[in-house]
This record gives sequence, structure tokens and C-alpha cells, in this order.
Amino acid sequence: MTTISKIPVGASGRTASRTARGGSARPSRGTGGPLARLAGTVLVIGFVVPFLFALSTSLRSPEDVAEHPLALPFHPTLSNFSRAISAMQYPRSVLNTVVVTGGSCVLVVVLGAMAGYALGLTTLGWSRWAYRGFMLGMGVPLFVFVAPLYLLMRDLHLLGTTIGVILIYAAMNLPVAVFFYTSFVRTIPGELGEAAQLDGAGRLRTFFAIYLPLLGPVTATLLVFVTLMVWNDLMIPLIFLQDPDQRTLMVNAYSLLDERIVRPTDLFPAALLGMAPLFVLFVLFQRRMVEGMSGGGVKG
Amino acid sequence: MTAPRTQTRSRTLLPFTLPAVGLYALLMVYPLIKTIPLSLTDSEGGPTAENVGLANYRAMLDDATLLSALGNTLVFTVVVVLAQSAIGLALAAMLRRWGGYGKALAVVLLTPALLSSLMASYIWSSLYQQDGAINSVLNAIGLGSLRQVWLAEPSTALYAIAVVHVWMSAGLAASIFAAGFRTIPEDMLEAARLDGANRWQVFWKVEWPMLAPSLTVAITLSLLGCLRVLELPLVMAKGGPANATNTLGLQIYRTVFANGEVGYGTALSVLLLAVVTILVTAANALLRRREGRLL
Amino acid sequence: MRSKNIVALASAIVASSLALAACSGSTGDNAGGGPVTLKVIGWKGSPAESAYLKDINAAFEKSHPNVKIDYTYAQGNSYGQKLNAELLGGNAEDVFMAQPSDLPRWAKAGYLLNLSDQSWATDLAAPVKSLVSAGKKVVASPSELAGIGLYSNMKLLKAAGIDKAPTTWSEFVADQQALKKAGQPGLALPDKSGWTIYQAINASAASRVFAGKPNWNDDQAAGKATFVSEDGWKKAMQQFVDLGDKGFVDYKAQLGIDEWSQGTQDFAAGKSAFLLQGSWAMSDLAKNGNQVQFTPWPGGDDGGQQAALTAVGTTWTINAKTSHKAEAQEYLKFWSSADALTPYLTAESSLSPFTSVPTPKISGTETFNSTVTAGRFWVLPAGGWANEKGQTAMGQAVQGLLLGQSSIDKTLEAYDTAAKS
Repeated sequence: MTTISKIPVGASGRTASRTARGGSARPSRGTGGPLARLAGTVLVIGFVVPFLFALSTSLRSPEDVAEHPLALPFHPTLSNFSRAISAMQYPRSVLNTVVVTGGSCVLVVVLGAMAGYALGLTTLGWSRWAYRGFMLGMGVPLFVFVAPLYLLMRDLHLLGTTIGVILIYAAMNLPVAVFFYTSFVRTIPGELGEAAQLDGAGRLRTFFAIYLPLLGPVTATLLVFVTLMVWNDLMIPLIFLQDPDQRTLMVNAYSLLDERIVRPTDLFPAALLGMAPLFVLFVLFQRRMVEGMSGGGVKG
Repeated sequence: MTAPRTQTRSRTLLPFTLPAVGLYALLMVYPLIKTIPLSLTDSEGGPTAENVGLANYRAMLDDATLLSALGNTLVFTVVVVLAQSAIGLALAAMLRRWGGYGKALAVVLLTPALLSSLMASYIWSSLYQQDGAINSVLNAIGLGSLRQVWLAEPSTALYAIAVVHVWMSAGLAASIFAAGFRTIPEDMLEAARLDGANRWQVFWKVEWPMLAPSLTVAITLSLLGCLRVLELPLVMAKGGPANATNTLGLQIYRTVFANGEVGYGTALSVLLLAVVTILVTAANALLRRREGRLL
Repeated sequence: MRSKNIVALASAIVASSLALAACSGSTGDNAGGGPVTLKVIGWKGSPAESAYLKDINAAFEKSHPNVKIDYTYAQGNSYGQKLNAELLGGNAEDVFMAQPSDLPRWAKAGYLLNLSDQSWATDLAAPVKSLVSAGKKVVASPSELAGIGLYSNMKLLKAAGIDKAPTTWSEFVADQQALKKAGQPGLALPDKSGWTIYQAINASAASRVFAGKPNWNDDQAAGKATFVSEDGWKKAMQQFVDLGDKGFVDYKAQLGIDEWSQGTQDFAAGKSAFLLQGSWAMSDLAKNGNQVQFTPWPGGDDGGQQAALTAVGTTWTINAKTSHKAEAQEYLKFWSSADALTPYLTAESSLSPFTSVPTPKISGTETFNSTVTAGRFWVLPAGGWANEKGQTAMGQAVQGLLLGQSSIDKTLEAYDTAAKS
């Protein structure tokens, strides 16, 4: 597989040529005009305003916030953050969360891609039922069956173990993974795989050599989805882990919350710290992700 | 494709599904199978329960809050799915024209998705307050008459919560569409332009049909997220005012955990499962048929 | 892309996460000898709160050197989910906190140890005892009797020429009039969770229903009384409709304010002169040097006697499956003594549920506490119509009433529907 040709998908400018027939063959490849650009930028900036608000609140003392909820941080203080970092046992819980999220992602991708590969290539009876079975799982909120799941994990001796939590996340996210991979595999021309098999490659090799690389883009989207879900989940680590040293970021962030006394200056720093590692990861892999998501792989 | 070949193929492919099916069957299907019979009992979560037949399902018919919860869930879902897809598509179409600058903005767009929905609920609750940021901004730009206690007004509360959901998920929708745009072969666009199509025509005639698979993915994921929505209405408005933001997910949550009515709560979950399955299957069938027609 | 690398990477990640998981797996119990570790879980003692719970546990460990307390805090919303699963799985903590509304259900499921034979059980005030019992058996030890009443900011009242907290409804209305005239902030009934106004109506009912019919709850439970047919409830609700009509309370605004975070902060910052809240909020509301009075809700008519609304807040229960029964009973016994209760009740500004343990004196709560001591109080039936389910449904119904969507009769009918279990 060679690199996917990256044709810059430029765009026509301000709808250049209504009269273009016979005229200039190519509409101008402008940037959408300064006005459109301004409007777009303003819109996007609107998306970060709530973060700026949370950040600004986090940088102020609790008394100051109670007095003037909307004022700017004229006397910025980091004490809210340092308090949150120690209360959340930040380094430890980041590590725990990374392990849980990473493990879940790997399992979901490997198992999901294999299943999606098979289900995408065949539509015979059993596969159709398997696919439907997976789809059904997308509609069930976890808290509905948390009790029998708890009993099951107890009997499997997986309570209080990180691996148990990873397995639960993997099972919960398999439906989405199967959905993603199956639909993607269906768009890959069957001849690709058949050609490989004619060359004597087995199923397993065809999967790894031909399909897995092609699944890169859809994997990127899936990884984003699964990472966000696992990283931000509270219920599963809370119920299935017991040792305080195993707690994830969200569990520790929520233990700062007492419903009778909800203080923005406790909560917002915890929220920002909770997403900070994700943000770093995201900025680092931003190019990979955007490029990854932008498939085009089929063109080979 | 000939039948025998498909069959051998099917047989050699079967092992590939086994690990996934095994894990899924063990940790999802099995607990679910253990749960659903509870809907036929008066279980309160304890080790024993009496069989009550279909009483829980009959009770749904008399449950006035349930009907409004169903309505709220559907309104919320329609609003969010439409808004999120439209905004996601528009942003994806816009940002891809701007090269590196667009990519930088795309990062910004995705940041709300990084936040947990519980935390987002608390931040937005502050923004929506009577003397919160949103009303202050409206006042400052001379639109003071539009000021509202957004989460306390029955006619705006559900939509105010929908805005937060869209805020969190529009970036993801945009990235799904952005991926879709990349799969459109440049020569098709070029050909359309050579035929003299303007930008709108290129979009409607070439890009929009080619985006059909992306639309399927975006709408399916969005549907799943919306129909089960729980945290946002729970934290932001506690299902109120006067049940205006009570959703099916929230109703189940309360029935099971606050009231301890596990039997009835499970029956409600079966209803939710049916609603999700029907809507997602129907949407998927329609969208897939559309893909088949367009591609 | 090279698939081999991906596979190698994937297996490396799986392997390392497995290794880490193995490392962080739970360690087994210590075998024999040594002190016993008693596992305790509750929703009190969050890191945001002061450390009184830690101190109480430390005091217990000091007087019981053979027992170590391993206390877990779980945040309110998630507490029930965690504990329900653990109880069903048979591996819940030895001692756990419970709300009175959970007790009947958990007792029925056989989760709770019978505590009727404990020495403190005979020391319980009568109305409290029925709330911590299932059938004839005492199944929980209450750690507080919380008051729900009116907080007044005396500085703001003084600015409007008022020098004492109101004791009757007509005084209360006159005070609001005076505050409005003086340009001072008035009554806040923040009601985003549907909690405050629901409780305010209950607090008015303390004077209007229960003062005259002390057995009303039992009658209601037995199907001999309904909300819609009780005039006192209608009058209590009418009071609040009137406050809106007179322009003293803007309900649309109040329904958007969160009781727990914003409402208390606003009061502490001097943005409201009156607030309905629980006694536990005292330490938060009295900061900033505020002069705060906590009194029974002035729901009654002139000439009538004020009655106070109280609720059993947190209770302790013992897991029926515990293997440290004696130690757990010692722990609960400690919680019924002044050694544990005085610091706890002081932190929570709550009343003592035991006749032999005095309520600590806290400045500003004298009137409320003397009303309770005089026996003029009524305990919210958290195991009956005032359980979580009822509270949610009734709170939402009241919001509908105050938004003008419904009538008092319709609201009380909704109460009756919600109270039928």
C-alpha cells in the first residue's frame, strides 16, 4: 500500500463562474472570502467561550467568584488548580485512566476490526444475525444491567481489577466498532481481497496485509469515539474498582463534588484538569487524526 | 458472486468474529438476558422478587410522566440530530477550504467533545443562569428583551439542553463529514466544474450524494447518543421545570436508583431498547437505501 | 503502513496494560492476628468538606485500638448505584450510610442487621424510631435530626427596620413588604431540583396540617386521608401562589437557581434576606460575618403555635453479611455517643436524635432547637410519601403549579398519585 494520494481538495471561491460555460474552465480557488472567513472564525470561537469562562472562573478565588460570578481574573490565582491536583491525586489517576483507556481501545479495535471484516464480507444467515445482535447492544444504557454484570464480574474474580474494567469497556464499545468496520469493509471492493487470496495468502494474512491497513481512517474515527467515551466515564470505574489507588480521573474529579455544596472553583479546575491530557494527546495527534479520518484509502 | 464461493468464504470468515462475539455475549448479552425477566417482577433490586406478569408494562399506560418523557426524548433527538448534522456539515464544508487555518479551527471545534457531559452540564448551568454570561451578553448587545431564565422556562429548557449536546457533538459530526469530503475523487469535482456548475451546484450534484455514507454514520451515532440522553437533563435541570426536560433515560435512571423500582425500571428499559432499535434500524435502512441509490 | 508494526505495537500495549492491571489488583485480607479492618462507606466527608468525619473515625480508632476504619467517600448521585450493586453481590462494606427512604427496601431484601437489641435503640426519640425501623425491628442508627426552616439575614432585615425573624405567616408577608419598600432583597426559594418549594410547603404543613393532626401520615399510609381532601395542604399551597401573585417571589427566576450551589451562595453573599434551607447549611450561610437566624418556617396563623419541620438525614446501618459484627456494633454505639455526635452535629448544625445526647448549642439556631425540644416538631416520613419518588414527582408538580400550568387541586391530586406506591 503506497501513500494515499493527498490531493488538496481546494475549493472554488465565491462561486466564481455562473457564466463560466465556455469561459474560464476553472473557478477561482479562493479561500471563501474574508467575510466568510471572519464569520466562520467567529462561529468557531463561540465554541471555546464556555471553556474560557471555566478557565477564568478557575483562576479566581472562591469568594471573588461568589461576589462577581462573571468578572475577569484580575487577581489570578493557581490555588484552585493546586488544590484540585492534590485532591484528585492527579498523576496517579492520569496513569490509571491512560491504562484503562489504552487497553480498551486496543481490544475494541482488534476485536472489532476482525469481526467487522468478516461481517462486512459475508451476508449469509449467521452473519446477519450476529450483526443485528451487535446493533441491539448500542441501545442499552449500562445502568440497566449493572447489577447482573456486577455479579458476573464477582464470579469471574474480576472485581476490583483494571483488566475487568477494560473488558467491560471493550464489550460495551464493540457494537459501535462492528458498525464502523462492517460498513467500511462493505465499501472496499471485494476483488482486492480475492486477488490476494489467489496469490495464496490465507484469510489471516489477507486481513492483516490488505484490510487492516485500509481500515486506518475508520480506526481513527473509532478511536476518537472510544477514547472519549472511556476517558469520561464515571460509573464503571466507580462500581467495578475499589482500591483508591486504581481510581480514574473522573472518579476522583467527582469525589470533589458534594451536591449540597457545588462550588465552581472546585469543579471547573477539576473539569479542565480531567480533559487536559486528552487535549494534549489530541493536539499532538491532530494531524494524524484529521488525515486519518479523511479516508480516501479505497482509491489505493 | 456465486453461491458456493460465498459459502466457503462464510466458513473461513466465521473464526474472525469469534473473539468479539464471545466477549460481547459474555459481558453484554448474558447480563441483559438476566435483566429482562426482572421486568416481569416487582423486584426492588434485592435477591428475591415476586412474579407480577405484565403488570409493569400495563402500568406504563397509566404513567403520565412516561408519555411526556417519550415526547421530550423524541423532540430532543430530532432537534439535536438535525442541528448537529447541519452544523457539522456546514463547518466541514467551510473549514476544508481554508487549509492549515481550517485545520487549526477544526481542533478548536473538537475540544467540547473532550469534556465529560457531566462537567459540561455544570459549566453550562452557570452560563444559563439568570445573571449568567448568556443573559449578560444579550444585555450588552442590546438584546436585553430576549433575556430568559433559560433552564427554568418550560418552553426553552429542553432546547437549551439540546444546544449543549450539539455544542459537544458538532465537532465530531464535522470530522465525520470532513472524512467524507476527502473520499470524493477530485476528478469528479473537476468534471462538474468544467460543465460550468457553480459551487452550490457542485455541492448538490456531486458532493452531497457522495457524502451519503458519512451522513449514515453521523446520523446513526447521533441518534444513539440522543435517545439515551441522561446526564445533561439530570444535572442541568433535574428533569424540570415541571418535567419539561424529563427524558426516557432520566425516567429509567430515577425509577431504578431513586425509587428502587427495579422491576418497573427494567420494563421501561425494554421500551427504550425497542425505541432505539426501531428508530436506528429504520434510519439505517433508509440511509443505506439512499446510499445505494446515490452511489 | 506496515501491519506487522501495528500488531507488535498492539500486543505490546495489551501486554503492558495486563501487567499493570495485575500489579494494581487488590491485595488479600490480612490473615489472623493484627487489628480488624472495618470497611465503612458514606456520602459524607467529601474532600471539599472539613475533616470532621476523619476526626471522628480517628477518635474511634484511638479508643478501639484493635479496629482500623477504612472509610470510603462516594458522591451522592453515584453512591446508590455503587452500593446497590455491592449489596446484591454480597460484598458491600461492613457499615454503610443509608437514607431513611432506602431502609424499608434494604431491610426487606435482608441486607440489614437487626439492631433492636442495641443499647442506643431505646434512647431514640419516638418519631425518629419509626423512621429507622422496618416493621418492629430497628435497622439503622440515625446520626442526626436535620431541621428544615427559614434562614434570615438579620443585617438586611435591620436595614428594612425589622429586628427579629418572623414567626407567623402574616409577619412574614409584612416583612417581605418592608424589605421590598426599603429596596432590600427578599425571599429566595431556589427550586431547580424541585426541592425548596416542596419542602417549604411541607414546612407550612407542619403548622397547618400536623400541628392539629399528628397522625395524618399514618392515616395517609392507611388510605384514610388524602392530600386533596385536606384543607391544610390547600392553604399551604395557596400561600406560595399568593407570594407569586403579590410579586414577592419571581418563580420563573427561582426555578432556574440551583438550591445547593447558587441559592446558598447568593444568601451568603447577601443577595437574599430569607431562604428556606436545611440546618446543615448553617456554616456555609453564616460565613462572611453574616448574622444569621435559623427559625421554624413561619407557616402558621397569628395566635397559633409554630411547629418545626425536621428530617432524619444520614443513618448508619450494618451489613447483615459482615464478618466483623461485634466491631461494627461497637462503631455504631460510638456514633450514638456524644464523642462522635457532638462534633458531627456541630458541623451539620443538626439536632440530636438521641434523648441522652444533648444538641450542641450553635449560635443562631436557638429558636429552632427550643421548638423541637418543646416537642413541637414533625419528622418528614421519608419511608412513606416523602420518599425519593414522591419528592421528585411532587416537586415537579409544584413547579407546574407555580408556572401557572396547573391548579392547587390538580397538584394535590398529583401528590396523591405519587404517594400511592
